Amino acid sequence: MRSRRNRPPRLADKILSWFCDPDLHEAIQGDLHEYYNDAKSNSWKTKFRYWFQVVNLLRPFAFRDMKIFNGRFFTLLRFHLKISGKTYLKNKVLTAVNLFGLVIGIGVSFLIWAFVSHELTYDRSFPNSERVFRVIRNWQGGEKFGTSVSAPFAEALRAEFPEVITTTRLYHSENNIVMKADKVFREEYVLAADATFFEVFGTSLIHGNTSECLRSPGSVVISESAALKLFNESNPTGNNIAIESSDLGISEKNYVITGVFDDFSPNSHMAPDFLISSSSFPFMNNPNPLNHFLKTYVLLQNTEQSKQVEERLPAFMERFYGTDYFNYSRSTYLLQPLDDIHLNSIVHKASYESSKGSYFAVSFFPALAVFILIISVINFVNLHTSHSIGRKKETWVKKVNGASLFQETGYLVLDSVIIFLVALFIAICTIEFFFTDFESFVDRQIDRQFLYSSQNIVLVLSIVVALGILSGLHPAVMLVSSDMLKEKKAVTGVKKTGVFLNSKLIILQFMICMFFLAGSIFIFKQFRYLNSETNRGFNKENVLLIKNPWYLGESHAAFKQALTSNRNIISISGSESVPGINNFSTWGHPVDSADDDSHITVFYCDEQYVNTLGLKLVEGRFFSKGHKTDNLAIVLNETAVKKLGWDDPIGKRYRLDTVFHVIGVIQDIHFESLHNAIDPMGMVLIRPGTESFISIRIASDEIAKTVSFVNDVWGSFVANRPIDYTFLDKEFASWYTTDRKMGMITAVLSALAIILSCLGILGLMFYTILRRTKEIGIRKVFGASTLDIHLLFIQDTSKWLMMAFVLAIPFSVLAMKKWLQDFAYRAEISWWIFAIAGLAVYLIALACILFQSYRAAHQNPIDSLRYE
Amino acid sequence: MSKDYLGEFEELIMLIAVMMKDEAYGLALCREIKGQTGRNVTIGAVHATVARLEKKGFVDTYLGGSTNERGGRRKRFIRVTNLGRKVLVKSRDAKMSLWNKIPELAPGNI
Repeated sequence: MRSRRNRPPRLADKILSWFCDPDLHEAIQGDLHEYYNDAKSNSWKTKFRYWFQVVNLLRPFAFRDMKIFNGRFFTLLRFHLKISGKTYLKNKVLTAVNLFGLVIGIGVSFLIWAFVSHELTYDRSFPNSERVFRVIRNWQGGEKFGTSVSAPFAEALRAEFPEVITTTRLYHSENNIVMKADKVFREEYVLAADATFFEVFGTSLIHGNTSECLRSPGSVVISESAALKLFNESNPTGNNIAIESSDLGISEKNYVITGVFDDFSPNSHMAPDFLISSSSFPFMNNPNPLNHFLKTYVLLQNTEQSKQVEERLPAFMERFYGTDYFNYSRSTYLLQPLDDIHLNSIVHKASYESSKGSYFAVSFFPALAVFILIISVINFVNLHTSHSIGRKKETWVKKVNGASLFQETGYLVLDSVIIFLVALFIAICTIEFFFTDFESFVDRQIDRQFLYSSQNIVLVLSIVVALGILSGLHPAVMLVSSDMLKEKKAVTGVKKTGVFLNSKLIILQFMICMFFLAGSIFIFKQFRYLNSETNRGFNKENVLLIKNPWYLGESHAAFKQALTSNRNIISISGSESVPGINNFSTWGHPVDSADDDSHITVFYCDEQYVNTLGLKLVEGRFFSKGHKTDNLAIVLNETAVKKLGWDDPIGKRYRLDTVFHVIGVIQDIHFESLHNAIDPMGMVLIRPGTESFISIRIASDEIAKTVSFVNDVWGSFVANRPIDYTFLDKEFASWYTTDRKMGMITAVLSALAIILSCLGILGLMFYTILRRTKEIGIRKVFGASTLDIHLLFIQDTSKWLMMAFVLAIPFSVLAMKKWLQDFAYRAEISWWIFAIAGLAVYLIALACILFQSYRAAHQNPIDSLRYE
Repeated sequence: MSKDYLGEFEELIMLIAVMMKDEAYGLALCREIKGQTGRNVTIGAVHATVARLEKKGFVDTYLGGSTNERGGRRKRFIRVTNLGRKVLVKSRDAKMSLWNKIPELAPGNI
């Protein structure tokens, strides 16, 4: 007897009984079961083999007699499909071109849709996502919001608002070293978190207790991937790891693993690997309400309460900070919804956010996708129309024999639906092939399970089928309704109706082409502008940046001294901040002004800063070793001077913790990306040994050699801690990667759009010329020259292209303006961009037309007229 | 005549069916083919070929009695008809005469 568990897959049997001829079914099913029992195992391999056998039985001999398929309808359909298949194969080039266009249109749209839906579903994977909010605040009514608030804030908030269920605070540490016995790992994502972390986000642990794991000091919870990396097992709870972090101020401190959590979904704004209990760090209880350094998340009872809480926040703030500070800071506190974090551009990207999306990309890319899809569908309509002309006689014969017009139209539409489905299939196969490249290009990990979930598949299929029906309708109706008597007998002129719709479509198509091309040219122009703008004021080439100088400890000066021995090193400077990486800490205000509004951001640097970065002094002097009083001196930038309203800034006084004298002014430089305006800034002398960066200017000819020299010197001072360095110009380039990618995407899409449109115009011309063969013949008989014939076609198309050009301009200008809103520095939208785009598209289209009209113009009139 | 034509696999199945006498049914043929020639063939392939042979009139099929080991399902046994036997012999003779005309491939020469 077979045991209950050891039975062949039921589904396979069901399928078999569905399709198999009842006469054969019993014997075949018996054979199959015997075959299954032969294997004497129930493994997936046996099951797979069983499935294979069943699928292998899908042969005509085994099929049951499906009477419905032998009716008139299906016989006609079978006949039609056979003929269709043959005509498609006969016109191989046309079919291939048509499929190619559709594959590109559908493929590009699918990819863009995959990306956009990924971006729009950020942070939805947290069970509490709708009720979790992050506290954000601005400074003195500024436009941008920051994410740090002070340590006691969360507790005060909980006590004040009954709506707040609980809060959790995070502190991110970027530079960490995790040690497990003898193994050492560099980790970028360690968070110090309150015990309520898992309660707030609603996520659960794989191992460990959700509410207890982060309670006691010295405990750490790690992600599953970290567990596998460190311990090669998924449950290392109870083991010890040592963590060293300069951000958290700990060196080789031991922590007990109290839990393991599932890795956060790839579309979450954070991706921590280690969570250390906040009770391990006294600084997390810093009572100073003005020391803003923690990210604070709030769990509310329901989503709507966020508005009520926000309304009552100002009053609470005034009590919390005291009226003086509240009035001075003029900060607004808001609750930012969790699913808003990824795309909101008002809030500065915090270091612990894995990536920042943009609303612009998410709203702009779907538009591009729709455009490409429109182009390829128009293409299809045009090419399919010219294809259909070849089937006129077939349709006429059917009509003479009494075919139902409705049914015939249906069949022809079915053809195009099938082509669309084939194109979809090819597109998805191609995409699968390039998917990892695509993911690395957009710098996201896209969730495939979501992409290929059944509801998405149904959605995509229904869109594609609907498009197929829509675009198949026009050629089909045209073909079925074509009047054979008129066309066969009468000497008709050109029948306008068919061409009319198609030429309108061509206008739309070329409009989109010009839009894309003008867009690409403009993005290129903006980049050139940005490049020239960032280069103003300083020299960012050949500057090596050491990002972890704190490991040098006491030997800072000795390290610099050792470096100066190399003649390829021109100058060395330590500072708290460098252009490209912001790290400002202090604000102040002028002594002789009652105006609170005139604060500027100040950072620390040493005497060599100006030389190393190649800054230009506009007035006065920079710090120098000779002046003893320079540690009470400040250097401003032009914007700061302008903001403070000083005509003669040298010698003016500015208050930070004590009073500083202005000794010099430097030319404005871009410390941030050109998405933002230049801030008013000041610099004061740094205390040696407290540098966050060491910048080294290197002579341009021996960079590689000098870098390895720096590396060696570092190694002789710091054991076991690798140097972390980068080049300044690289840091700069990294700001614009998103923008550059956007430019690349637009350029690629515009190339595709132009290629597709050319295919479309080739198809349309083919069709028009075919219709007008006789007309051309007669014209030639009456003495038209080849040029006349060419002009005949060029005139028509030029008219369409002019219209497309005029219509494209307003749309392009609108899109460019929208894109520029993201930049503080904007290139001009000049007229020549459109002129070039229009001219290029026109010339390309002209080439396509000439290619086709050449044939028409050079054929012998005898060939086209002899049928009469 | 095209009607008498036998495919290689068809011939193999008929030969094995004759050899197995009353024990020839779908899966048994599969096993025997594996045993005799080492070829892995699917149940579908065997049934399809048998159906074709039946159409040509070279084999008959009949259902056996109910069985225990396959949930009471009956086996469809195969019997080679007289016409089938004749075609087999004819096919062998045609091949033998061909073989005899090729001395290069005689057993001693390879």
